[in-house]
Parts: sequence; structure tokens; C-alpha cells
Amino acid sequence: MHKISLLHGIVCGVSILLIGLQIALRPRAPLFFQSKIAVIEEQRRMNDYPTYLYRLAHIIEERPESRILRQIKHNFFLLFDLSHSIDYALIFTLIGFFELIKTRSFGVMGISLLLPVIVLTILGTDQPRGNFCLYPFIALSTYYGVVAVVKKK
Amino acid sequence: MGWWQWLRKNSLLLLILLVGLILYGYRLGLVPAGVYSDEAVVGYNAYSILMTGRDEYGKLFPVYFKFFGTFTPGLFVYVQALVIRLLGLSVFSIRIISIVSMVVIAGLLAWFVYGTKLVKLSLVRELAALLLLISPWAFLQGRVGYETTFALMLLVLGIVLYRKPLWSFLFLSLSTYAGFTERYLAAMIGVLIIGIFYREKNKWKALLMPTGVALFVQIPNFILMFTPAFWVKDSSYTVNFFGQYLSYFSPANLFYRSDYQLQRSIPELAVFYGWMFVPWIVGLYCLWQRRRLPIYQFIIGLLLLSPLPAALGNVNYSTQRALPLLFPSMVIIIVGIEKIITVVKRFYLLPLGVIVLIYSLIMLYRSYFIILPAQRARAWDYGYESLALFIKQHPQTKFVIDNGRSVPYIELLFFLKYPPKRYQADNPPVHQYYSNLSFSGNSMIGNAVVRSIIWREDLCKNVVLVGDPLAISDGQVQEHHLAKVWDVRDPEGTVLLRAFQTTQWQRCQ
Repeated sequence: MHKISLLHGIVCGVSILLIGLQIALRPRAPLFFQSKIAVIEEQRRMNDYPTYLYRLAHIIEERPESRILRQIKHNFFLLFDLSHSIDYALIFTLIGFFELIKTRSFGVMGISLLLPVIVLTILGTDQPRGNFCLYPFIALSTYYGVVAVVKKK
Repeated sequence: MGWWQWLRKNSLLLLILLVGLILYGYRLGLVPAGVYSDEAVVGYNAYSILMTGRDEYGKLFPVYFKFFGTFTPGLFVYVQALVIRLLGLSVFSIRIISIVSMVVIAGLLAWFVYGTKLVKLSLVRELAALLLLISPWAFLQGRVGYETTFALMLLVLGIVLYRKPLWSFLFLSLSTYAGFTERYLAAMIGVLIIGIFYREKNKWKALLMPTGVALFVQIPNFILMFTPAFWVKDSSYTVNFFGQYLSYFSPANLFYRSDYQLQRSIPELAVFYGWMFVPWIVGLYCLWQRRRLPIYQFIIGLLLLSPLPAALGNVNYSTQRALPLLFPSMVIIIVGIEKIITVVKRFYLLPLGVIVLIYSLIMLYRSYFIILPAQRARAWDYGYESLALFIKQHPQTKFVIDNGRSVPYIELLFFLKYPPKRYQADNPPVHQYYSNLSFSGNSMIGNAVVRSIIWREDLCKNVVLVGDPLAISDGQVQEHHLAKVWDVRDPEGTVLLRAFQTTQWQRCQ
């Protein structure tokens, strides 16, 4: 029990450190940034709407809230883009994640998973040195996953 | 239970399915704009079978249809021939089977999740049907005129009837005649059903008759297995297999990113809505927690098997080939939704659910009915209906239609409703049908010939040249003094096809 608490404590501490580093190394203010391509595509979509739906078009495409929501979706889901990573340990990470939920380790999950996800969703995923603030959680959940599978055997 | 009681018990579900039928039929002939070549080829071959008993190449009642050299399993074509008999050859009639198939799949999903006690709340059962019907993946595939959705319906019938092995194996076996993906998947699912629900020796006797029926239905496949046509879309393990396989479980691909192929996706929408990620994760957790139960093992098995044919084919992330993944994914999402409802139990869940539903419908309408017809017209081969009309209005004019980047011959056959008997007579027959894998796309269709433009020869003829701006560039128009006689633009104003009259042909003489 003590060992687990110590492990969780270390993971939380390292996560907080890495989150701070991730914020310090951020490239730009991502949620409010629109690339040229995004502007062109937005205008193209606006032109596709019939005139009687222009108000709807403005709400869905042009309003700052809609743009921010699109950017949040973009940043959030790219965090979970498995297409670009062939991670053979992924299954253990997933099993470990479920084990953490089962053991109701919401505190460590909140600090090592939820907080980095929020930070990276706001900052964006194209970080110069990768999304390293998530690594403590990935390591912890992979460990839990391996332990769960080995114990079952 | 009397039929009236049954009707009362299932009235909401039936209403949802009926509304789904109406929603799917809305502007069916207009959106997607254009008729994709895969739709046209199925539709025209069904028409040809209906009129002559032969496909476009003159083959009498083929088991696999050559089409563009793909040798597609032909069950859907024969079903479509029946529909064309009733409704005539049109965009609506070729797409209606997919609508009915998807609505049936929605009903089967609702019945399956409730009947197997995967969900216990009857309202969640209705929600299952509703969410499947409005999911982008189902909506797009449910409004196309080719075989994928019909094949999925047969596969799902085989899945949900797992307790009745005779019907289950029969439908699984039939599905192999409807789609390529099902050819590989049906047997795997059959083995999965046996392995989970019939693993005890005393149950094996009950499988003898169903297996015999399934194998009997496979006789044509066994015979054609020795021809090249059977192996045309043969899948084989590639170095990139694991990456491709994993991509079908990537949340970015499932909930955010559109399929990169423009014809296989709805703009700005992934196969599921972004908010479905939450119940999907919760559903996966429930699956893991209850993995010892046979029904959950079945769902896990379906989830892991469904993307295999798509991943084995050397094609990057195809939502069409992985369509069978729709069913287990929706089951997981629905299980997750019920878990959230039963755990959270807050009064605000209902209004929140309604808001999310309305938001999803607005985004679906915006992406599918506004953006898709405008931005994806070219991808859906828009413009050929207009070209067919132009050709029909000029029966004395000779046309040369370039086929460098598309298969215009089948589009013209479809829209002109060209007599199949005449087409078969005018074009060379195909010998050794199931061994002849070649395909050129060149055709004679009345006063039009479809082939690449041969500038050296065609400029010396009194013809109208038709092609996209790449086939007949502005430079070539100027150089050869061609006179524009027609063009067609997509809804955004981009020229898709142009027709030019040759003016210098007399000089050659």
C-alpha cells in the first residue's frame, strides 16, 4: 500500500514538473491562432451555405467560440492519434488505465492524465519536444497493465 | 404476445426507424451530387441483368460481376435488379436498398443490445437505433448505391441470430456473395460464434445442419476459387499491417478526422461524433470489466476481427472496407451511454442529451447537405448527367470522351439508360470471363466513343471532344482553335467537364 502511494506520489510530482516545463516551452497561443489554410477553408465553407442560412453559417464557422471549439477538438484528438504511433505496449497501457479506474485512483489520474490532457488541448500537440507531460501516466498505466496481465497468468 | 401488444411495446423504436427511413430518403437523388462510378456500374449492370439476363460484358447471370475488373460478388446486383424492375433505373432506385439495409441494421442493433441484456433500459434500446441512424458513418454508407451496406446487413443478421445457428450461418454465408469484406469476415465470425457459444461438445451436433447449409451455399465460391476472379482483391499481410490495424481504433480517426478519400467521407465529420468518445471509453471499460461473460467476449471478438480485412488490404484507412466495425463500435458506445446514465443519475442528463442530439443533427445537416454537395461534387463524378443530356440532344454529333481520370462510359450508360443489348452488341465480348482481369474503360456508346483523346487523329475529325480541364487544357484549346460548345461546373463554380468542337478538321482533308 505504501509502495503504491509512493509510486503515485512520484508520478504526480513528475507530472507537475513536466506540465510546468511543457507550458514553459510552448510555441505560441494556439487556441486563438488560425493558420492561413484554416482561414481559407473557413471562407470556403461560408460560401457553401445558401443565403438563407447565413446566420447559422456565421455561428458555426466564424464565431470565436466555434473556432476555439474546433481547435480544442483538433488538439484533443491528436493526443490520441494512434495512426502515427505503433506502440506495441498500447494494450498494456489501456488495461492499466482500466485497472486504475477499477482501483479508483482518481487523484493520480487527475494529476497525471487529466491535467496534461487539458494543458495539451490548450497548448496544442505539435510541441517541439513532444507531449512529454503525458509520459508519467503512460508509464504508470503500462506498469499496471503488465502487472494485471502477469497476475492473471 | 399479440401483434397489437407488440406494436405498443415497440412503437417508439418503430417510429425512430420510420423517421430514419424518411431522413435517409431526404434529397436522396440530389445528395451526394453526382452518381459515383461504383454506383453507376452496379446500377447499370443490374439494369442489364433485368433486360437481358447478362451483364455489360454479355456474361449470362454471373456470380461475380467483372465491373472495372474487380469481380465484385453479385448478390446485391440481383437484388437491385428487382428494385429497378419496380422503380425504374434512377439515382433513387439504386440507393434505396442501402437505406432500407441501414434502417434494418439500426433495428437489429436495438434488438440485439436489449435482447442480450447488454443494456437494461428500454429507452437506451431506442437510443441505440437513433444514434446509429444519425452517425456519420451510417448516414454516408446508408445513402450509396453500392453493395457495402447491404452486405453489412446480411452480416449483422448472421451476428444477431447467433442463438439460431441455422439462420446465423445461412446469413453469414450469403453475405460472402454481397461484399468482399464479408468474404473474409463471415467465416471468422462463424468460428467466433462456435468458439464462444457452442464450445461444449454436446452442442456440436446442433451445428451439423447449419454448417452443411452454409457450405452448400458456398459451392459457387468453391468452384470459382480456382479462377483469378476470386483472388482479384486478395488481401495479404504487409509490413504496415499493425499500423493500419491500429488506425481503425485510433480515437483521432474514429471521432475527429475524416477519411482521407473524398468520396468515402463527409467533410468536417469523422465516422462518429466527437462527443461519442466519452461513452466509447466508458463502454470499453465495461467490456473489460465484464470480459468473462460470453456476450462480452463476442463483442470483443467482433471488435477485433472487423477491421482485419481492411487492415490486411494494402490500403490506408478505409472506412468503407472497415464498415463491419460500425456494429461493435455502436454496441460499445451504447453500453457506455447506459453506464453513464446509471452512474450519474442526474436530472440534467436528459436536457444535456437533447442538446447533444440537436447539435449532432445540425452538424450532420451542415456537413452532409450543405458542404458535401458543394465541395465533393467532383469526387462523386458530378456532371455526367448533364453530359448525357447534351449527348442525347445532339444525336447526329460524334463525341470523343476522355477517360484519363475517371470511367465516364458507365456514367453515360447509366444516365442514357442505354439499351444493354445494343451495348453488348457494339462492344467486343469478353472471353474466359473469370480469367480475364483486364479492363480498359474504352467503349462505343451510340454516337459517343469513350477513350483517351488522340490529338493527332481526333483533330482531323468532325467531332466534339469532351474532357476535364486537365485532358483539354486552355493551351490546347488555343493551339488547336477548338470551339467550346458545353461545360458543366460544380456548385462552387469550378469547371468539371468541357466539350469542344474541332474546327480545323477540314484542313486535314
